[in-house]
Amino acid sequence: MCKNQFRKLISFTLLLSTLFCLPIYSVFADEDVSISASVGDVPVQQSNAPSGGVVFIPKTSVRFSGLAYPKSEVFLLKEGKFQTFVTADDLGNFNITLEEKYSENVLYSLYAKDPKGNRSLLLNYPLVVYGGYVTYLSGIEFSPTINIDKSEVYFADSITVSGYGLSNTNVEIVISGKNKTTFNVLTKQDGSYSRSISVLGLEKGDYSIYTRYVDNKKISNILRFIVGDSTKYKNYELSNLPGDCNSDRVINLVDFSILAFWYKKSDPPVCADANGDKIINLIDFSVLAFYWSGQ
Amino acid sequence: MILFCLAGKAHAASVFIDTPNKSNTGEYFEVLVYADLDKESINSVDMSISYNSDLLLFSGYKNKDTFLKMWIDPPRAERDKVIFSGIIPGGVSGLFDANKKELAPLPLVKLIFKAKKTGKAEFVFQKSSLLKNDGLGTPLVHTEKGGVILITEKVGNTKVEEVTDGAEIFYTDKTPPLPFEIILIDSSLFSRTPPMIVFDTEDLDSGIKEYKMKVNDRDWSIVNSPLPIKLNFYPNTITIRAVDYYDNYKDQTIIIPGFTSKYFRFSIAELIIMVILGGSLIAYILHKNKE
Repeated sequence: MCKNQFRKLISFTLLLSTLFCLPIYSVFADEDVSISASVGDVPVQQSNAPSGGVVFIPKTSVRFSGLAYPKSEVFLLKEGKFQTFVTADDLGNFNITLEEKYSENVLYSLYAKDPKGNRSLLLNYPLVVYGGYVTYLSGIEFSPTINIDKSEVYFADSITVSGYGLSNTNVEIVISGKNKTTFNVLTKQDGSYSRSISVLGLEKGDYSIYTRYVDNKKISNILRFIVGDSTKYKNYELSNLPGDCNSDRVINLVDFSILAFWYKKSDPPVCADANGDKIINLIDFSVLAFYWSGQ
Repeated sequence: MILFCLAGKAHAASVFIDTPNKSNTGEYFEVLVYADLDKESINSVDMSISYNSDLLLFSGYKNKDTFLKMWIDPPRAERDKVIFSGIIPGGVSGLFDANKKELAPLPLVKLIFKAKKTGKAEFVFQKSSLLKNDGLGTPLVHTEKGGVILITEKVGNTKVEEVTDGAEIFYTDKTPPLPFEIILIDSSLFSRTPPMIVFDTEDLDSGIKEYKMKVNDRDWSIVNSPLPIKLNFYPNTITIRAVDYYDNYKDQTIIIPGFTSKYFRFSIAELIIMVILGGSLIAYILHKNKE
Protein backbone atom coordinates (compact mmCIF):
# COMPACT_ATOMS: atom_id res chain seq x y z
CA MET A 1 0.00 0.00 0.00
CA CYS A 2 1.53 3.35 -0.97
CA LYS A 3 1.77 6.33 1.33
CA ASN A 4 -1.13 8.23 -0.26
CA GLN A 5 -3.45 5.26 -0.01
CA PHE A 6 -2.43 4.77 3.60
CA ARG A 7 -3.17 8.40 4.42
CA LYS A 8 -6.54 8.15 2.72
CA LEU A 9 -7.32 5.07 4.73
CA ILE A 10 -6.40 6.81 7.96
CA SER A 11 -8.47 9.90 7.04
CA PHE A 12 -11.45 7.72 6.15
CA THR A 13 -11.09 5.84 9.41
CA LEU A 14 -10.99 9.08 11.36
CA LEU A 15 -14.04 10.41 9.53
CA LEU A 16 -15.93 7.19 10.15
CA SER A 17 -15.08 7.21 13.82
CA THR A 18 -16.15 10.86 14.02
CA LEU A 19 -19.52 9.95 12.55
CA PHE A 20 -19.96 7.02 14.93
CA CYS A 21 -18.75 9.02 17.87
CA LEU A 22 -20.65 12.20 17.14
CA PRO A 23 -21.24 14.01 20.38
CA ILE A 24 -23.29 11.70 22.51
CA TYR A 25 -24.81 13.75 25.22
CA SER A 26 -25.55 12.14 28.49
CA VAL A 27 -27.51 14.30 30.82
CA PHE A 28 -26.92 13.74 34.49
CA ALA A 29 -30.20 15.17 35.70
CA ASP A 30 -29.11 15.92 39.19
CA GLU A 31 -26.55 18.45 37.99
CA ASP A 32 -27.84 19.31 34.51
CA VAL A 33 -24.28 18.68 33.42
CA SER A 34 -23.75 17.10 30.03
CA ILE A 35 -20.81 15.05 28.90
CA SER A 36 -19.74 14.27 25.38
CA ALA A 37 -16.70 12.86 23.64
CA SER A 38 -15.65 13.59 20.09
CA VAL A 39 -12.52 12.79 18.15
CA GLY A 40 -9.78 15.25 18.99
CA ASP A 41 -10.05 18.14 16.59
CA VAL A 42 -6.46 19.08 15.85
CA PRO A 43 -4.12 16.18 15.24
CA VAL A 44 -0.76 16.99 16.70
CA GLN A 45 1.04 13.78 17.41
CA GLN A 46 2.77 11.79 14.78
CA SER A 47 4.16 8.34 14.78
CA ASN A 48 5.59 6.15 12.12
CA ALA A 49 3.19 3.65 10.62
CA PRO A 50 4.44 0.11 10.06
CA SER A 51 4.26 0.69 6.29
CA GLY A 52 6.63 3.61 6.58
CA GLY A 53 4.01 6.38 6.37
CA VAL A 54 3.07 8.96 8.97
CA VAL A 55 0.03 8.68 11.21
CA PHE A 56 -1.67 11.69 12.73
CA ILE A 57 -3.22 10.92 16.05
CA PRO A 58 -5.93 13.25 17.32
CA LYS A 59 -4.99 15.00 20.50
CA THR A 60 -6.55 14.11 23.81
CA SER A 61 -8.07 16.84 25.90
CA VAL A 62 -10.77 17.65 28.41
CA ARG A 63 -13.00 20.70 28.25
CA PHE A 64 -15.23 22.27 30.89
CA SER A 65 -17.77 25.01 30.37
CA GLY A 66 -20.64 26.57 32.23
CA LEU A 67 -21.64 29.53 34.33
CA ALA A 68 -19.73 31.21 37.14
CA TYR A 69 -20.10 34.64 38.72
CA PRO A 70 -19.63 37.45 36.17
CA LYS A 71 -15.94 38.27 35.71
CA SER A 72 -14.88 35.71 38.29
CA GLU A 73 -11.77 33.56 37.99
CA VAL A 74 -12.40 29.87 37.47
CA PHE A 75 -9.62 27.49 38.51
CA LEU A 76 -9.09 23.95 37.25
CA LEU A 77 -7.30 21.32 39.32
CA LYS A 78 -6.29 17.82 38.31
CA GLU A 79 -5.93 15.29 41.14
CA GLY A 80 -5.88 18.24 43.53
CA LYS A 81 -3.09 20.10 41.71
CA PHE A 82 -3.58 23.45 40.02
CA GLN A 83 -3.57 23.30 36.21
CA THR A 84 -4.91 26.54 34.79
CA PHE A 85 -7.52 29.26 35.23
CA VAL A 86 -9.73 31.47 33.07
CA THR A 87 -11.80 34.59 33.67
CA ALA A 88 -15.54 34.34 33.11
CA ASP A 89 -17.16 36.94 30.87
CA ASP A 90 -19.68 39.62 31.85
CA LEU A 91 -22.47 37.06 31.95
CA GLY A 92 -20.41 34.49 33.83
CA ASN A 93 -19.72 32.14 30.88
CA PHE A 94 -16.46 30.25 31.10
CA ASN A 95 -14.68 27.63 29.03
CA ILE A 96 -11.49 25.76 29.99
CA THR A 97 -9.60 23.20 27.91
CA LEU A 98 -6.76 21.07 29.19
CA GLU A 99 -4.62 18.84 27.02
CA GLU A 100 -4.12 15.30 28.25
CA LYS A 101 -1.92 12.42 27.26
CA TYR A 102 -3.49 9.18 28.38
CA SER A 103 -6.73 7.31 28.67
CA GLU A 104 -7.48 7.06 32.35
CA ASN A 105 -9.86 7.93 35.18
CA VAL A 106 -9.02 11.36 36.52
CA LEU A 107 -10.48 13.60 39.21
CA TYR A 108 -10.88 17.16 37.95
CA SER A 109 -11.94 19.90 40.32
CA LEU A 110 -13.07 23.46 39.68
CA TYR A 111 -13.67 26.41 41.92
CA ALA A 112 -14.50 30.05 41.28
CA LYS A 113 -13.26 33.14 43.02
CA ASP A 114 -15.73 36.01 43.08
CA PRO A 115 -14.66 39.66 42.52
CA LYS A 116 -14.17 40.02 46.30
CA GLY A 117 -11.83 37.03 46.40
CA ASN A 118 -14.21 34.61 48.10
CA ARG A 119 -14.07 31.05 46.84
CA SER A 120 -16.91 28.78 45.90
CA LEU A 121 -16.97 25.23 47.18
CA LEU A 122 -15.06 22.72 45.07
CA LEU A 123 -16.88 21.05 42.21
CA ASN A 124 -15.42 17.59 41.57
CA TYR A 125 -15.80 15.68 38.32
CA PRO A 126 -14.35 12.16 38.23
CA LEU A 127 -13.97 11.70 34.50
CA VAL A 128 -13.15 8.87 32.11
CA VAL A 129 -10.67 10.36 29.66
CA TYR A 130 -10.46 8.65 26.28
CA GLY A 131 -7.21 8.89 24.33
CA GLY A 132 -7.65 10.67 21.00
CA TYR A 133 -10.89 12.34 22.07
CA VAL A 134 -12.05 15.64 23.46
CA THR A 135 -14.11 14.87 26.53
CA TYR A 136 -16.42 17.79 27.11
CA LEU A 137 -18.35 18.52 30.29
CA SER A 138 -20.80 21.39 29.91
CA GLY A 139 -23.56 22.98 31.96
CA ILE A 140 -21.44 23.47 35.07
CA GLU A 141 -22.80 25.99 37.56
CA PHE A 142 -21.08 27.27 40.68
CA SER A 143 -23.11 27.62 43.84
CA PRO A 144 -23.16 31.12 45.39
CA THR A 145 -20.52 32.54 47.71
CA ILE A 146 -21.64 33.91 51.08
CA ASN A 147 -20.53 36.42 53.70
CA ILE A 148 -22.18 37.68 56.85
CA ASP A 149 -21.29 40.86 58.71
CA LYS A 150 -21.66 39.60 62.29
CA SER A 151 -20.58 36.56 64.26
CA GLU A 152 -23.03 37.37 67.04
CA VAL A 153 -26.29 39.25 66.60
CA TYR A 154 -28.33 41.04 69.26
CA PHE A 155 -31.72 39.35 69.28
CA ALA A 156 -33.51 42.51 68.07
CA ASP A 157 -30.92 43.36 65.46
CA SER A 158 -30.36 42.19 61.91
CA ILE A 159 -27.64 40.38 60.01
CA THR A 160 -26.50 41.24 56.49
CA VAL A 161 -25.92 38.38 54.11
CA SER A 162 -24.03 39.05 50.90
CA GLY A 163 -22.07 37.31 48.19
CA TYR A 164 -22.03 36.48 44.52
CA GLY A 165 -23.99 34.11 42.34
CA LEU A 166 -25.03 33.70 38.75
CA SER A 167 -26.26 36.87 37.12
CA ASN A 168 -29.93 37.82 37.68
CA THR A 169 -30.73 34.63 39.55
CA ASN A 170 -32.98 33.90 42.51
CA VAL A 171 -30.96 32.93 45.56
CA GLU A 172 -32.44 31.31 48.62
CA ILE A 173 -30.93 32.17 52.03
CA VAL A 174 -31.47 29.38 54.53
CA ILE A 175 -31.02 29.89 58.26
CA SER A 176 -31.23 26.83 60.44
CA GLY A 177 -30.78 26.16 64.12
CA LYS A 178 -33.45 26.25 66.77
CA ASN A 179 -35.71 27.66 64.05
CA LYS A 180 -35.43 27.33 60.31
CA THR A 181 -36.33 30.14 57.95
CA THR A 182 -35.66 30.97 54.34
CA PHE A 183 -35.43 34.25 52.49
CA ASN A 184 -35.01 35.13 48.85
CA VAL A 185 -32.87 37.65 47.07
CA LEU A 186 -32.22 38.33 43.40
CA THR A 187 -28.63 38.72 42.25
CA LYS A 188 -27.77 41.78 40.22
CA GLN A 189 -26.40 41.84 36.69
CA ASP A 190 -22.87 41.59 38.12
CA GLY A 191 -23.90 38.58 40.22
CA SER A 192 -23.74 40.34 43.59
CA TYR A 193 -26.48 40.07 46.19
CA SER A 194 -27.03 41.53 49.63
CA ARG A 195 -29.90 41.33 52.08
CA SER A 196 -30.34 42.50 55.63
CA ILE A 197 -32.35 40.01 57.68
CA SER A 198 -33.94 40.73 61.07
CA VAL A 199 -33.27 38.01 63.62
CA LEU A 200 -36.24 39.10 65.74
CA GLY A 201 -38.30 35.97 66.05
CA LEU A 202 -35.30 33.65 66.16
CA GLU A 203 -34.65 32.11 69.55
CA LYS A 204 -31.29 32.79 71.13
CA GLY A 205 -28.73 30.18 70.22
CA ASP A 206 -26.41 28.92 67.50
CA TYR A 207 -27.40 29.11 63.86
CA SER A 208 -25.96 28.13 60.53
CA ILE A 209 -26.62 29.95 57.28
CA TYR A 210 -26.08 29.09 53.64
CA THR A 211 -27.37 30.08 50.23
CA ARG A 212 -28.38 28.20 47.13
CA TYR A 213 -30.22 28.83 43.88
CA VAL A 214 -33.89 28.10 44.12
CA ASP A 215 -34.63 24.40 43.46
CA ASN A 216 -30.93 23.55 43.37
CA LYS A 217 -29.27 21.04 45.68
CA LYS A 218 -25.81 22.60 45.59
CA ILE A 219 -25.24 24.98 48.48
CA SER A 220 -22.71 27.64 49.38
CA ASN A 221 -20.28 27.42 52.25
CA ILE A 222 -22.06 27.12 55.59
CA LEU A 223 -21.40 29.94 58.03
CA ARG A 224 -22.27 30.14 61.69
CA PHE A 225 -23.55 32.91 63.92
CA ILE A 226 -25.11 33.29 67.34
CA VAL A 227 -28.30 35.10 68.26
CA GLY A 228 -27.64 36.47 71.71
CA ASP A 229 -27.49 39.52 73.91
CA SER A 230 -24.86 41.49 72.04
CA THR A 231 -23.69 42.25 68.54
CA LYS A 232 -20.21 41.39 67.41
CA TYR A 233 -19.12 42.59 64.01
CA LYS A 234 -16.56 40.59 62.20
CA ASN A 235 -14.77 40.87 58.93
CA TYR A 236 -16.11 37.46 58.31
CA GLU A 237 -14.40 36.36 55.12
CA LEU A 238 -14.77 32.73 56.19
CA SER A 239 -12.22 33.15 58.98
CA ASN A 240 -14.11 30.74 61.18
CA LEU A 241 -13.96 27.64 59.01
CA PRO A 242 -14.49 24.35 60.87
CA GLY A 243 -11.20 22.53 60.99
CA ASP A 244 -9.12 25.62 60.24
CA CYS A 245 -6.79 25.09 63.18
CA ASN A 246 -4.04 27.33 61.81
CA SER A 247 -6.59 30.09 61.05
CA ASP A 248 -5.28 30.80 57.59
CA ARG A 249 -8.84 30.84 56.14
CA VAL A 250 -7.99 27.90 53.93
CA ILE A 251 -8.74 24.22 54.43
CA ASN A 252 -5.93 22.13 52.97
CA LEU A 253 -3.41 19.43 53.71
CA VAL A 254 -2.10 21.23 56.80
CA ASP A 255 -5.53 21.16 58.45
CA PHE A 256 -6.03 17.55 57.35
CA SER A 257 -2.74 16.64 58.99
CA ILE A 258 -3.67 18.35 62.24
CA LEU A 259 -6.95 16.46 62.25
CA ALA A 260 -5.10 13.22 61.46
CA PHE A 261 -2.85 13.80 64.47
CA TRP A 262 -5.89 14.01 66.78
CA TYR A 263 -7.69 11.09 65.13
CA LYS A 264 -9.08 8.82 67.84
CA LYS A 265 -7.23 10.75 70.55
CA SER A 266 -9.09 12.10 73.55
CA ASP A 267 -9.67 15.77 74.36
CA PRO A 268 -8.95 17.23 70.92
CA PRO A 269 -8.71 21.00 70.41
CA VAL A 270 -12.00 22.72 69.62
CA CYS A 271 -10.79 23.86 66.19
CA ALA A 272 -10.34 20.25 65.08
CA ASP A 273 -13.56 18.95 66.61
CA ALA A 274 -15.92 20.14 63.88
CA ASN A 275 -19.09 18.70 65.42
CA GLY A 276 -18.18 19.33 69.05
CA ASP A 277 -18.56 15.76 70.23
CA LYS A 278 -15.07 15.74 71.82
CA ILE A 279 -13.72 13.01 69.54
CA ILE A 280 -12.11 13.19 66.14
CA ASN A 281 -13.64 10.61 63.86
CA LEU A 282 -14.75 10.25 60.27
CA ILE A 283 -17.48 12.86 60.73
CA ASP A 284 -14.91 15.56 61.50
CA PHE A 285 -12.94 14.56 58.41
CA SER A 286 -16.14 14.73 56.38
CA VAL A 287 -16.84 18.27 57.59
CA LEU A 288 -13.26 19.21 56.73
CA ALA A 289 -13.62 17.66 53.28
CA PHE A 290 -16.78 19.74 52.68
CA TYR A 291 -14.90 23.00 53.30
CA TRP A 292 -11.76 21.97 51.39
CA SER A 293 -10.28 24.97 49.57
CA GLY A 294 -8.43 23.12 46.85
CA GLN A 295 -5.05 24.71 47.37
CA MET B 1 -26.42 14.39 17.44
CA ILE B 2 -28.15 12.00 19.65
CA LEU B 3 -29.58 13.27 22.92
CA PHE B 4 -30.03 10.80 25.75
CA CYS B 5 -32.18 11.56 28.70
CA LEU B 6 -31.43 10.25 32.08
CA ALA B 7 -33.23 6.95 32.65
CA GLY B 8 -34.73 8.16 35.90
CA LYS B 9 -34.70 4.67 37.38
CA ALA B 10 -34.71 4.92 41.15
CA HIS B 11 -32.24 2.75 43.02
CA ALA B 12 -30.54 2.82 46.39
CA ALA B 13 -26.90 3.61 46.89
CA SER B 14 -24.65 0.58 47.21
CA VAL B 15 -21.07 -0.55 47.58
CA PHE B 16 -19.87 -3.63 45.79
CA ILE B 17 -16.74 -5.62 45.11
CA ASP B 18 -15.65 -6.59 41.63
CA THR B 19 -13.34 -9.59 41.36
CA PRO B 20 -12.22 -11.83 38.53
CA ASN B 21 -14.16 -15.10 38.40
CA LYS B 22 -11.10 -17.18 39.07
CA SER B 23 -7.37 -17.16 39.56
CA ASN B 24 -4.62 -19.73 39.83
CA THR B 25 -2.46 -20.39 42.86
CA GLY B 26 0.66 -18.27 42.92
CA GLU B 27 -0.90 -15.56 40.79
CA TYR B 28 -1.96 -12.03 41.61
CA PHE B 29 -5.29 -10.42 40.89
CA GLU B 30 -6.96 -7.09 41.52
CA VAL B 31 -10.15 -6.47 43.46
CA LEU B 32 -12.02 -3.23 42.83
CA VAL B 33 -14.27 -1.69 45.44
CA TYR B 34 -17.00 0.45 43.90
CA ALA B 35 -19.56 2.87 45.26
CA ASP B 36 -22.78 3.41 43.35
CA LEU B 37 -24.06 6.58 44.97
CA ASP B 38 -27.46 7.11 43.39
CA LYS B 39 -26.37 10.67 42.58
CA GLU B 40 -25.69 11.56 46.22
CA SER B 41 -22.35 13.24 46.89
CA ILE B 42 -20.05 11.67 49.48
CA ASN B 43 -16.66 12.75 50.72
CA SER B 44 -15.62 10.18 53.33
CA VAL B 45 -15.25 6.42 53.31
CA ASP B 46 -14.43 3.92 56.04
CA MET B 47 -14.45 0.21 55.19
CA SER B 48 -13.48 -3.15 56.52
CA ILE B 49 -13.57 -6.12 54.10
CA SER B 50 -12.97 -9.66 55.26
CA TYR B 51 -11.28 -12.23 53.06
CA ASN B 52 -10.06 -15.82 53.40
CA SER B 53 -6.55 -15.28 54.67
CA ASP B 54 -5.84 -19.01 54.36
CA LEU B 55 -6.46 -18.79 50.61
CA LEU B 56 -5.32 -15.26 49.86
CA LEU B 57 -2.48 -12.89 50.73
CA PHE B 58 -3.12 -9.15 50.70
CA SER B 59 -0.35 -7.71 48.52
CA GLY B 60 -0.98 -4.02 48.28
CA TYR B 61 -3.17 -1.50 46.53
CA LYS B 62 -3.12 0.84 43.56
CA ASN B 63 -4.21 4.47 43.35
CA LYS B 64 -4.34 4.59 39.57
CA ASP B 65 -7.84 5.03 38.08
CA THR B 66 -9.42 5.12 41.54
CA PHE B 67 -10.65 8.08 43.52
CA LEU B 68 -10.13 7.44 47.24
CA LYS B 69 -6.55 8.63 47.66
CA MET B 70 -6.37 10.97 50.63
CA TRP B 71 -5.94 8.33 53.26
CA ILE B 72 -6.77 8.61 56.91
CA ASP B 73 -5.81 4.93 57.08
CA PRO B 74 -4.38 3.48 53.85
CA PRO B 75 -5.36 -0.10 52.96
CA ARG B 76 -3.74 -2.61 55.26
CA ALA B 77 -4.36 -6.17 56.32
CA GLU B 78 -5.40 -6.79 59.88
CA ARG B 79 -5.78 -10.53 60.49
CA ASP B 80 -8.38 -11.58 57.92
CA LYS B 81 -9.59 -8.13 57.01
CA VAL B 82 -8.46 -5.27 54.84
CA ILE B 83 -9.30 -1.95 56.41
CA PHE B 84 -9.03 1.53 54.96
CA SER B 85 -10.49 4.98 55.35
CA GLY B 86 -10.05 8.25 53.57
CA ILE B 87 -11.64 11.37 52.16
CA ILE B 88 -12.38 12.86 48.76
CA PRO B 89 -12.26 16.62 49.42
CA GLY B 90 -15.18 18.37 47.83
CA GLY B 91 -17.18 15.17 47.43
CA VAL B 92 -18.12 13.07 44.40
CA SER B 93 -21.37 11.54 43.20
CA GLY B 94 -20.25 9.11 40.50
CA LEU B 95 -18.03 8.64 37.47
CA PHE B 96 -18.71 10.74 34.37
CA ASP B 97 -18.31 8.59 31.28
CA ALA B 98 -19.31 9.85 27.83
CA ASN B 99 -20.09 6.27 26.80
CA LYS B 100 -22.71 5.85 29.48
CA LYS B 101 -26.14 7.39 29.87
CA GLU B 102 -25.85 8.06 33.56
CA LEU B 103 -23.25 8.41 36.26
CA ALA B 104 -21.24 5.22 36.54
CA PRO B 105 -20.28 3.62 39.86
CA LEU B 106 -17.17 5.16 41.32
CA PRO B 107 -14.07 2.95 41.70
CA LEU B 108 -12.87 3.77 45.20
CA VAL B 109 -9.81 1.58 45.63
CA LYS B 110 -8.00 -1.26 43.88
CA LEU B 111 -6.72 -3.99 46.20
CA ILE B 112 -4.14 -6.57 45.14
CA PHE B 113 -4.19 -10.17 46.35
CA LYS B 114 -2.09 -13.23 45.72
CA ALA B 115 -3.82 -16.60 45.50
CA LYS B 116 -2.18 -19.03 47.94
CA LYS B 117 -4.36 -22.14 48.03
CA THR B 118 -7.24 -23.59 46.05
CA GLY B 119 -10.78 -22.95 47.19
CA LYS B 120 -13.61 -20.47 47.02
CA ALA B 121 -12.52 -17.14 48.48
CA GLU B 122 -15.10 -14.61 49.54
CA PHE B 123 -14.89 -10.90 50.14
CA VAL B 124 -17.48 -9.63 52.61
CA PHE B 125 -18.06 -6.13 53.89
CA GLN B 126 -17.70 -6.13 57.68
CA LYS B 127 -18.17 -2.39 57.84
CA SER B 128 -18.80 0.30 55.25
CA SER B 129 -19.40 3.95 56.08
CA LEU B 130 -20.08 6.56 53.43
CA LEU B 131 -20.58 10.11 54.64
CA LYS B 132 -22.33 12.75 52.58
CA ASN B 133 -20.65 15.92 51.42
CA ASP B 134 -23.19 18.10 53.25
CA GLY B 135 -20.99 19.80 55.83
CA LEU B 136 -22.46 17.60 58.54
CA GLY B 137 -21.02 14.16 57.81
CA THR B 138 -24.47 12.58 57.45
CA PRO B 139 -24.19 8.85 56.75
CA LEU B 140 -25.43 7.68 53.35
CA VAL B 141 -27.70 4.67 53.66
CA HIS B 142 -26.57 1.98 51.24
CA THR B 143 -26.52 -1.73 50.55
CA GLU B 144 -23.44 -3.94 50.36
CA LYS B 145 -22.49 -6.70 47.96
CA GLY B 146 -19.31 -8.71 48.36
CA GLY B 147 -17.42 -10.78 45.83
CA VAL B 148 -16.30 -14.36 45.24
CA ILE B 149 -13.31 -15.78 43.40
CA LEU B 150 -12.44 -19.37 42.70
CA ILE B 151 -8.81 -20.30 43.24
CA THR B 152 -7.70 -23.24 41.19
CA GLU B 153 -4.44 -25.10 40.87
CA LYS B 154 -2.24 -23.92 38.00
CA VAL B 155 -2.25 -26.69 35.40
CA GLY B 156 1.12 -27.89 34.04
CA ASN B 157 1.68 -26.34 30.61
CA THR B 158 -0.19 -23.10 31.06
CA LYS B 159 2.13 -20.31 29.96
CA VAL B 160 2.76 -17.56 32.44
CA GLU B 161 1.99 -14.94 29.80
CA GLU B 162 -1.41 -16.39 28.92
CA VAL B 163 -4.23 -14.29 30.28
CA THR B 164 -7.23 -15.99 31.80
CA ASP B 165 -10.60 -14.54 32.72
CA GLY B 166 -9.37 -11.14 33.92
CA ALA B 167 -6.86 -12.43 36.46
CA GLU B 168 -3.40 -10.93 36.50
CA ILE B 169 -0.99 -13.74 35.79
CA PHE B 170 2.35 -12.10 36.27
CA TYR B 171 2.74 -9.33 38.75
CA THR B 172 5.81 -7.52 39.87
CA ASP B 173 6.80 -4.13 41.07
CA LYS B 174 10.31 -2.96 40.43
CA THR B 175 9.57 0.74 40.58
CA PRO B 176 10.10 2.70 43.77
CA PRO B 177 7.45 5.03 45.15
CA LEU B 178 7.18 8.48 43.63
CA PRO B 179 9.38 11.31 44.98
CA PHE B 180 7.77 13.30 47.75
CA GLU B 181 8.11 16.29 50.02
CA ILE B 182 8.31 16.44 53.78
CA ILE B 183 6.42 19.42 55.15
CA LEU B 184 7.10 20.85 58.59
CA ILE B 185 3.95 22.12 60.33
CA ASP B 186 4.90 24.49 63.08
CA SER B 187 3.05 24.65 66.32
CA SER B 188 1.87 28.09 67.39
CA LEU B 189 2.77 29.30 70.85
CA PHE B 190 -0.40 28.25 72.69
CA SER B 191 -1.45 25.38 70.49
CA ARG B 192 -1.84 21.88 71.91
CA THR B 193 -0.95 20.38 68.58
CA PRO B 194 2.79 19.76 68.57
CA PRO B 195 5.05 20.56 65.63
CA MET B 196 4.73 17.78 63.07
CA ILE B 197 6.12 16.64 59.79
CA VAL B 198 3.77 15.48 57.09
CA PHE B 199 4.64 13.26 54.17
CA ASP B 200 2.68 11.43 51.53
CA THR B 201 3.49 9.68 48.30
CA GLU B 202 2.14 7.10 45.90
CA ASP B 203 3.39 3.87 44.54
CA LEU B 204 1.89 3.24 41.15
CA ASP B 205 2.29 -0.54 41.11
CA SER B 206 1.67 -1.97 44.57
CA GLY B 207 0.94 0.87 46.96
CA ILE B 208 2.78 2.21 50.00
CA LYS B 209 3.18 -0.47 52.65
CA GLU B 210 4.84 1.64 55.31
CA TYR B 211 6.96 4.64 56.12
CA LYS B 212 10.15 4.49 58.12
CA MET B 213 12.10 7.25 59.82
CA LYS B 214 15.70 7.73 60.78
CA VAL B 215 16.99 10.66 62.85
CA ASN B 216 20.56 11.53 61.96
CA ASP B 217 22.35 8.13 61.98
CA ARG B 218 20.11 6.27 64.35
CA ASP B 219 18.12 3.14 63.49
CA TRP B 220 15.05 3.06 61.31
CA SER B 221 11.64 2.95 62.94
CA ILE B 222 8.19 2.57 61.42
CA VAL B 223 6.16 5.78 61.52
CA ASN B 224 2.96 7.32 60.19
CA SER B 225 2.11 10.74 58.88
CA PRO B 226 1.53 13.17 60.50
CA LEU B 227 4.51 12.63 62.78
CA PRO B 228 4.95 14.80 65.88
CA ILE B 229 8.54 15.89 66.39
CA LYS B 230 10.47 17.29 69.30
CA LEU B 231 12.73 20.24 68.85
CA ASN B 232 16.24 19.66 70.14
CA PHE B 233 18.84 22.21 70.98
CA TYR B 234 20.64 21.59 67.70
CA PRO B 235 19.25 20.88 64.23
CA ASN B 236 18.46 17.28 63.31
CA THR B 237 18.31 15.57 59.97
CA ILE B 238 15.26 13.39 59.57
CA THR B 239 15.06 10.88 56.74
CA ILE B 240 11.71 9.42 55.77
CA ARG B 241 11.62 6.26 53.68
CA ALA B 242 8.49 5.27 51.76
CA VAL B 243 8.42 1.50 51.21
CA ASP B 244 6.09 -0.32 48.83
CA TYR B 245 4.80 -3.88 49.03
CA TYR B 246 7.78 -5.17 47.07
CA ASP B 247 10.27 -3.42 49.36
CA ASN B 248 11.21 -0.80 46.79
CA TYR B 249 11.74 2.48 48.57
CA LYS B 250 12.24 6.20 48.13
CA ASP B 251 13.96 8.43 50.69
CA GLN B 252 13.55 12.09 51.48
CA THR B 253 15.23 14.20 54.13
CA ILE B 254 14.44 17.35 56.03
CA ILE B 255 16.54 19.35 58.43
CA ILE B 256 14.59 20.32 61.52
CA PRO B 257 15.95 23.58 62.98
CA GLY B 258 17.25 23.51 66.54
CA PHE B 259 15.42 25.09 69.44
CA THR B 260 17.70 28.12 69.62
CA SER B 261 17.68 28.89 65.95
CA LYS B 262 13.92 28.47 65.81
CA TYR B 263 12.73 30.43 68.80
CA PHE B 264 15.48 32.76 69.74
CA ARG B 265 17.25 33.18 66.46
CA PHE B 266 20.32 34.30 68.35
CA SER B 267 23.81 32.98 68.31
CA ILE B 268 25.31 31.39 71.44
CA ALA B 269 27.45 34.47 72.02
CA GLU B 270 24.39 36.72 71.94
CA LEU B 271 22.68 34.41 74.41
CA ILE B 272 25.65 34.62 76.80
CA ILE B 273 25.66 38.42 76.57
CA MET B 274 21.94 38.49 77.33
CA VAL B 275 22.43 36.22 80.36
CA ILE B 276 25.18 38.48 81.69
CA LEU B 277 23.11 41.62 81.15
CA GLY B 278 20.05 40.00 82.70
CA GLY B 279 22.05 38.82 85.70
CA SER B 280 23.49 42.30 86.17
CA LEU B 281 20.06 43.87 86.09
CA ILE B 282 18.76 41.44 88.71
CA ALA B 283 21.78 42.09 90.94
CA TYR B 284 21.24 45.87 90.65
CA ILE B 285 17.59 45.57 91.61
CA LEU B 286 18.40 43.39 94.62
CA HIS B 287 21.08 45.83 95.71
CA LYS B 288 18.64 48.71 95.43
CA ASN B 289 16.09 46.87 97.53
CA LYS B 290 18.67 46.29 100.29
CA GLU B 291 19.33 50.02 100.44
